[in-house]
Amino acid sequence: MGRTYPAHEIEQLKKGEGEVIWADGCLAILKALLESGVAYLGGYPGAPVSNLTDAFLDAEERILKPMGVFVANNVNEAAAAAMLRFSVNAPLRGAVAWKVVGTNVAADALAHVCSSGVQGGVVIFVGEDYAASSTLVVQKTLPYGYNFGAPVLDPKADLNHVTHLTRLAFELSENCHMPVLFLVRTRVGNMKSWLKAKDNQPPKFSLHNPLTELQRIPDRFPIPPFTQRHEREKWHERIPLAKKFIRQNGINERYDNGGRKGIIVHGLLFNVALRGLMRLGEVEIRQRELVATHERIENATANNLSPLPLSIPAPQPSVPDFRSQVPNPQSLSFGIPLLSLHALFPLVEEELAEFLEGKDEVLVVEEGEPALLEREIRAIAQQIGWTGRVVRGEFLPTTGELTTGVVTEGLMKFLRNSAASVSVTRPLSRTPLIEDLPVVPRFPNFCSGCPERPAILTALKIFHSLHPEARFEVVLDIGCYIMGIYYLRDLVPPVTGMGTCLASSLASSFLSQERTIYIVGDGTFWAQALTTSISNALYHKQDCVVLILENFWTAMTGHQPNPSTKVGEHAGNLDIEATLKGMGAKWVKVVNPYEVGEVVKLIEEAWELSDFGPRFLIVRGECMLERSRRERKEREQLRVVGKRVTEAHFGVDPLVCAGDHSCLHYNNCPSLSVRPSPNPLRRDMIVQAEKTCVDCGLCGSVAHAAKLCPSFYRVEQVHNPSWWERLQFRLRRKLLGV
Amino acid sequence: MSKKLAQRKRGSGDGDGEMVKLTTPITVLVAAVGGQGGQLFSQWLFDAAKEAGFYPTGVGLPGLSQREGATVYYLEFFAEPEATALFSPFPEKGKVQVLIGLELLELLRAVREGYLAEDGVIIGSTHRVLTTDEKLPIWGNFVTSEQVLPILRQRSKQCVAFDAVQAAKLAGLSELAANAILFGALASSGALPFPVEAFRRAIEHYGIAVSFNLRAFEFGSRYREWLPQLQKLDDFATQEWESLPEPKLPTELQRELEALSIDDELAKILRHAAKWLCHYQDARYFARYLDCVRAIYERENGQGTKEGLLVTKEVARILATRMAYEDAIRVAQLKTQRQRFERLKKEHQIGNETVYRVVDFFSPDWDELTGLLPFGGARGEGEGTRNEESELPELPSQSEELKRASLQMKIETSSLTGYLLLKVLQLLKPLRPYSRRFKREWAAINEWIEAVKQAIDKDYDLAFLVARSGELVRGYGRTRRKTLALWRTFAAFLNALEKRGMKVSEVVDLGEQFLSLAMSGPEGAEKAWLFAKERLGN
Repeated sequence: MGRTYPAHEIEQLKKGEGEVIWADGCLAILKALLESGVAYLGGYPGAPVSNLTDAFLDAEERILKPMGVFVANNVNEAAAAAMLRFSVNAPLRGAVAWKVVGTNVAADALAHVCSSGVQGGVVIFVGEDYAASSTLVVQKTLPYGYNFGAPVLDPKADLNHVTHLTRLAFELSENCHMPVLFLVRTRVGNMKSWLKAKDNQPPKFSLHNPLTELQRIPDRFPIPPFTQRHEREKWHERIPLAKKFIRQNGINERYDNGGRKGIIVHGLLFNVALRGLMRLGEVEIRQRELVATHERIENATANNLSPLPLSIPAPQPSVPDFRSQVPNPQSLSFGIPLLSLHALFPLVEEELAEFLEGKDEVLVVEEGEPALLEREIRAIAQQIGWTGRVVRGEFLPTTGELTTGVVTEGLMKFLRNSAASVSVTRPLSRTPLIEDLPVVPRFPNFCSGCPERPAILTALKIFHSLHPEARFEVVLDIGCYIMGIYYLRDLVPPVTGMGTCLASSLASSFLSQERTIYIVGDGTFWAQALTTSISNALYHKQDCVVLILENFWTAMTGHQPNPSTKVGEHAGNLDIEATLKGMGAKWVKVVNPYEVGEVVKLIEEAWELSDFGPRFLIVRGECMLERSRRERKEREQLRVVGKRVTEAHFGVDPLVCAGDHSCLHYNNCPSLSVRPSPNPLRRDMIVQAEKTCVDCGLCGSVAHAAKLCPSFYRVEQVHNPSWWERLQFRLRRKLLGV
Repeated sequence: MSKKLAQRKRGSGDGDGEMVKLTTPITVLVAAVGGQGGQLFSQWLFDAAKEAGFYPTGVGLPGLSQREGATVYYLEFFAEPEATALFSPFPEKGKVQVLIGLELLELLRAVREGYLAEDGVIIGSTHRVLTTDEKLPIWGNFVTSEQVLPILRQRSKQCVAFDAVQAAKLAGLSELAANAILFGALASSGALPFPVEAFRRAIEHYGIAVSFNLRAFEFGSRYREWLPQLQKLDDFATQEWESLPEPKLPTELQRELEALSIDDELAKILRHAAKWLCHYQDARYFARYLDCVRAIYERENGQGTKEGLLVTKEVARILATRMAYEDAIRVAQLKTQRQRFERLKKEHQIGNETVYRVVDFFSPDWDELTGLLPFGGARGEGEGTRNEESELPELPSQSEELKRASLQMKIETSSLTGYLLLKVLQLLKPLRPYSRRFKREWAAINEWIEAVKQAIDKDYDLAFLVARSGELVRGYGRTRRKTLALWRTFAAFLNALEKRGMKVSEVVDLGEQFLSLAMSGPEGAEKAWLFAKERLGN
């Protein structure tokens, strides 16, 4: 909490007109939100926009509260989406953020808000992760835009463009009365660069100056007879207004010096195609027109939109050691017409018509399926009677990530350039040697000292070894603990999305002999599992054992607070144990995860109580990453002022370890590694404990619970010991030689 | 940003701003393991570029960082601010000019992906963070720097690679210093056209543990001076082995040892065995060892094989560890010896005056506790007893094993009572040869030695296989019982195959598969057992 962005980065949010800010994509967006006079913020964390939630929370005390901006840490995306209803009644701007699959959770509330339409601008930042680098399913946001009738914006990988488009998004929203979906791709949200600031605008009404009265507009209620009126409005008034705004403000950029072929790209694929075309010698960069594209666009009007040559400035030839090739100086521009779409929905027919005119063949560089851009462009082409060819699949893969390498290759084929003139994606010749080495994939793992690992890995493995006759499946929900899939592969059914996984095994609880052991963390518990899974299970008296991993933080997305967090102004408002008992749960116990033997015993006890319906075991231990960061600092401070402080680590005696690796099987801690034995008679790898050990104690309790070898020891150093301790120690040293 | 630096750099150029040039950026890829600090490293790099007057743009794929996954950061440094609009959010194959790896496997992965330009530079740590799959095999199977360094050198114009974690130890700093050390090496390597001062300021600017990281940075920037020393860095565990007392053998025995030292390799093994077994029991025990080895040697030599006494050497190596089986007496001895405390203090950087305590975790079961008593049969329960019908003995049931009663003890070995308790246990050492455990271990050893002898007469490959199989038996308590049963399964498996009239070469082939399955990890025994059962079709 309050740590993703250091204070000096947050401080930059105060900068004004013309000043330069160095930031990542998410902080840049927050800056643009402040420049747009946003009044309220919210959302639910998830990569690649978890940094945006962090930015909201990190800036809350220092920047946002003083400006009067309200920040909500919504318990899920539906709550965040519903909050946007405020802008239906009030002329205030709001923004929320969630990851791509969050739209699924928010969809119901969002559909209603979109039907009513908004007066204050509303922008939803959706973490678009088509490459699924941190998402479990592949999904695109664009179809939701069609579904709701909400405009979808998609920026370049250029922070100045990101902030420019953010500012425009609010105006677009107010112009067409629709919430706007703003895509934040992984490589935009996690991108770092510079941007030019504008002045912050305080919201019209704020925490310091709240609205005295809310407007009541009865016809905004989505109920017949208004429902059909909303539908008519949406498609006959709001969408045309959106198109007009998009065209007038030059949101889509056209670079066209004439030619029979053209390329249409979207979002950051502009950067990707640009680099590809540079490699293919199809772009030259003109000196003297040192105006970044976004600034040109900002000044452009609807009338002088085309042709708009790209004018990216040439770097000054002044860096003596610049390790790169310097090609021949010529005048510059794109060698092939290019249309860069940044409003993906709605497409403006006139813009497309103008671009297609006079061309024979147009390549649509679109990421993934469903390829709604390609289809829409084909439809427009047919509408206007254009007879050229729209191509995509022949040149580019229609699924999977479009990297610079992939796109460059596709463009090369499209342009029928010979590969000889440029060096494109030519992998180095591979010696057979490198292929022979075992470059194994690296899966993520639970951190050293993680309180979740002992429960779901160690305890369940021991339980399984103890009771080979017990038949069960381990139902994992979404959180760090989903990494259990790497270790419990044979026992785990597919995940069905945030908080829904226990519900996914309801039928199997009745129709199969396998019992369910359900694993859920506190963040997911509060976000969705409580209502969707737990109440469903209690209501049906589902025969299941539920392990709730209460670690006080939404850890997987970077330690955002959740209702179980023990610090902050909302701490203690909600309590898992009391909630479950209040709901009528008959068996609720709390256990310390590091006492593995105890956890196993309680799982055994819960296992037997089939008649009780769901049995709940709350495994309570703070996220070690968060805890050790805090405690390390505290310990250091105490040590410096001369207070007694202990520091402990686990170790393995190298001559005692017999290289059997059972400890790795039951406790796959990242701080346990292997090394050759110092005993030259042994060929086995022995286990060693790395310095990253945080003294969680698990090694000791596993050694007991799983009856492992006696190699493990715990060594504790005492800083600033008392005189008595020192005396004892000296005595022992003298007598025992320790 | 440092305007002065930028100006100085600019001033040294040709100054002709009128020339029109298209310039591609400097491209850098940083590969790391989540939790290693790849993010901080990239941030420093980003800031260093700024300090040097460049305009950096970068993208990180932290993924599930801090959780051991692979992470990648890609940066481009432009000469002019507006040019950052040219940023490619993906690294291009064959175009990365500087490749930085905080971990060897990730570095190798990036090289294998083909990102590095032909004239690219590699700056990397050869430190290994092992993946789960690499840790499990008993005999290990992971990429090492010896394998990778030649490839890295061949693929790059310049390659600066060393174990940055070891370097931190050499510098007397904690492991957290590894990144800043590598950053220092990058700064002084000349791979990037930034003055060293720019790198230094980047660390100062970001403000995380500045004085610590600067110390590490300065050390790293002098890497050329200390790289040779890095190889010679002490390994504390090896030191503990080396500081075990050298054996004092009676002259007669010493002569016997020398007589059997046919070549250097065998001589080395015998010397190690003498040290280990005398430390374990006494010289008489070593004499018994020597008799066993000699018997094998004579048998092997008698066959006239010219393979360099492979069987004798394997038996000699493995027999020493089998004879020094780890019982309570042995554990007490290793846990209380002076060398242990010396190693432990060095390993955990405990000063001579620092108050510390050591707690050991024991969970001996009934068998282990009563194994020291002088009665009981030569074969224990669950050590590979076989019923009449099946050809293979059963492995002990793991659930039964886990349910067995055991004494769960935490003993503070550095305390008076804990230490003395363990010392008292060592008084039993002379009684060891009369214990039940001794009887049982020796029964198993004799079975193995006998099997090796028989195999020598049949086939050399078979003999080599059976000799190595002795290493299947390992560990304490339930692992010991399981692996004893496993070895007996192995022997029964080979016998059953031979009985079916299978060719020896095929038997050896299946036996090798059994062995490698058994050694594949902590669940290897079960896998090997199932393999044998399937092969025999029962």
